[in-house]
Amino acid sequence: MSTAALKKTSALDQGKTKTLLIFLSPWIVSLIVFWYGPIVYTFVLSFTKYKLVGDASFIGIKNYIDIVHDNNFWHGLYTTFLFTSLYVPLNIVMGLFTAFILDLDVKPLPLWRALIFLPAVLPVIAIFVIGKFIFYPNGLLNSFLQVFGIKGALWIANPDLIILAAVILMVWQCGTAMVVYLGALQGVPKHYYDAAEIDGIGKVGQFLHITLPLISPSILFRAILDLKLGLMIFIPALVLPEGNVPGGPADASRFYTLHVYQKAFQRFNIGEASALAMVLIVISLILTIVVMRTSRKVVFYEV
Amino acid sequence: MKRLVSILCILLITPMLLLAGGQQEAGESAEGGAELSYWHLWGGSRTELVEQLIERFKSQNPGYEFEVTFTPPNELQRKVVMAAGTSALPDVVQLHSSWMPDVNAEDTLVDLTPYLEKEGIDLDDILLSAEAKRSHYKDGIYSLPNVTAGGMGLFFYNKDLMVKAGLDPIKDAPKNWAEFTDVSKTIVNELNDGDELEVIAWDPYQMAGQPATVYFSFGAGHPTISKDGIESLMDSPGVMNTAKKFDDYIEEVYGKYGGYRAILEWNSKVAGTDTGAAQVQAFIKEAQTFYVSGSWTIGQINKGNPDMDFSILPVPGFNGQHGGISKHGWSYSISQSAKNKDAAWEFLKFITISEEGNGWFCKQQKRPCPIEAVNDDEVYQEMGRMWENLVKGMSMDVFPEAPAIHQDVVKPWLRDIPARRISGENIEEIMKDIDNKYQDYLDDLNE
Repeated sequence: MSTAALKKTSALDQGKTKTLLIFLSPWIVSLIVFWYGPIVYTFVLSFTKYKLVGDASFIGIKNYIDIVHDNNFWHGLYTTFLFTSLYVPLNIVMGLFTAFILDLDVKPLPLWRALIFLPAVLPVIAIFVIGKFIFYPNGLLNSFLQVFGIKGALWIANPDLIILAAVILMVWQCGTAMVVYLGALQGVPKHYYDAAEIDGIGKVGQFLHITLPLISPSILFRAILDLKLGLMIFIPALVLPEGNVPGGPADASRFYTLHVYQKAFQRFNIGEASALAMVLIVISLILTIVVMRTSRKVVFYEV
Repeated sequence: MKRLVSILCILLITPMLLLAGGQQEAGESAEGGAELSYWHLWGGSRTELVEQLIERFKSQNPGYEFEVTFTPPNELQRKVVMAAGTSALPDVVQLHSSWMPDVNAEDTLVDLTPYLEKEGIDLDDILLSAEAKRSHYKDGIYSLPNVTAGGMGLFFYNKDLMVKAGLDPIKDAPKNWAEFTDVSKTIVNELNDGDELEVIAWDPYQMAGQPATVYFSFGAGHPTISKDGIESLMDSPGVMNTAKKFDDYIEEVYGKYGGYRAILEWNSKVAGTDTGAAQVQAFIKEAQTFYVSGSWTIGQINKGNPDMDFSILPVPGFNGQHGGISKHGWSYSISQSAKNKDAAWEFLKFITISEEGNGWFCKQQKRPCPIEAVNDDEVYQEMGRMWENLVKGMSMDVFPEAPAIHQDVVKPWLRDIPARRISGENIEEIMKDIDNKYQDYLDDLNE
């Protein structure tokens, strides 16, 4: 290619790059202004004493020292990890299960699709408000059990069960995960199954050795998203507990994010709240990296 | 390219100039009135009354325009404190007199002393002494109460339900805790068939406004927080005694139905949602015989069930007598960032101490404010004996130093008691835990 032609191509590329940047600029600007900007600002505030009223003063790492000496910090981590460790695998299993049902083309398909996907389009707050009516001490579930003479559990008034109720309601929204898995399932070439059948491999074997490896990138993708959702869980702590007790009963649903929220907007301790938020960001990053690294042996991007 | 930059600059600068021009004009109108922003907490039917109140003011003061914002009481503190921190307070704001340190009053609110002096107003002449005292903060007066005796604790009781239970609504109306427990047992036993509660007497853990534990502890002379607002007294002997009384009450009155669990189930069935507002609905629906709340509820109950025959008493006390009365401190203030402070004062005066403004507003709700309304014959005729009790309540000792109650924080912990009791924790452990949490919260606030 001549020098003139190279220059022309380069000019064209530059033109394309400019167009690309112009079209991407709303996203880039909002990413910087609404995501990275607040993260940096939060990081700065985490080294200050700031009560919303008055000026912020630099206090070094005191906020970080204070938060690790606070039992609420560890309790918040515990409840959040407990929720996440139940939610992530269950959501994967339910998402896969519902995707399989739809992939089987069971009639009437539109009905199953609607039933499975409808909760996913409802706002999370609506899910938990509905859930509260279900899990109330005298709610739908217990009233139903009463018909058979069974005295139901107290669910949202029971510290041992409220997390489970929250997980069930979150997993009820597995429709978004189902869409991802369904897309992946339908992308698995049919001839792999034909070949497997000729080789005498049963359905379970086909699932374990063909389906699962081929949809593993989608599972990883959803697992990371669900992990993020689990760590950020907040709404059930405010909406679900009986008696409208944030984090109740007996602090059983006092998630980490509720601790951050209360520090910031109930106690106006913005410095400590920022430090707590930064710790959560770091935990989230570390867990994501761990999942990515450990998944290398079980996630297959090519056959 | 230059052309594009010029167009962009014009597009950016024009709205800024327009906004700047608009800001210059905001706060003042051509007729010499003003444009005022006003935040209040008057929800429900009272929102409409606020609109009428503003119209009354406007008819007497032409040229005023208002930007009115309603915020529920439980969200107001957060909103006001954040607005104070970011110089975003409205011209006239409703707040609680105990929030003065939280909003840094001397830097964010207008000291009303010069205005009161100019008008020759002495607060002691127009307010109960406790309320006049609460209006002072440091060396100034940064707020005026929106009602007189508005936050007085009242004990509402359904006379029809008492009659149905075979009780005399006058003679058997309980004046102390022992009588209250006995009457409650009779009502629950007489008005329920089978194992499930249909009609209850009272639930100590569901209450609008101040949590009942705090309320009754005050009544018995035991605050839940030290006067300087630094120390939690939630596990002090006095408050612990209240918690134990409530615990015993649940066992004695509802024990044979399943105690705390029966009450939880009743709540979820009858009250629908478990908030204080739902409790007044349960009283209005006549599924609950007693209701403890402030005098503001009289109008709400009358409107909700005009046929219900109810009356009021001061709250039953633990010492064999009626209990004392704790004071709220809902007030109005003027923001230092108000563009037209004189105009804001005119409106503040109208909604706090004028007969045409606040007096009218209170009468619409059948509540005694300003203090002159107590002797209003028309109201007295309409309210009869209930009014007598209300006035009697007003003349009782108040706790002028009733400490700041961080309702949003404390209430959920106290409302959590039934679930924790069902889980097997004893009341002493729970109160100690609440004390720790409250202390932790206070340490954070006072740091």
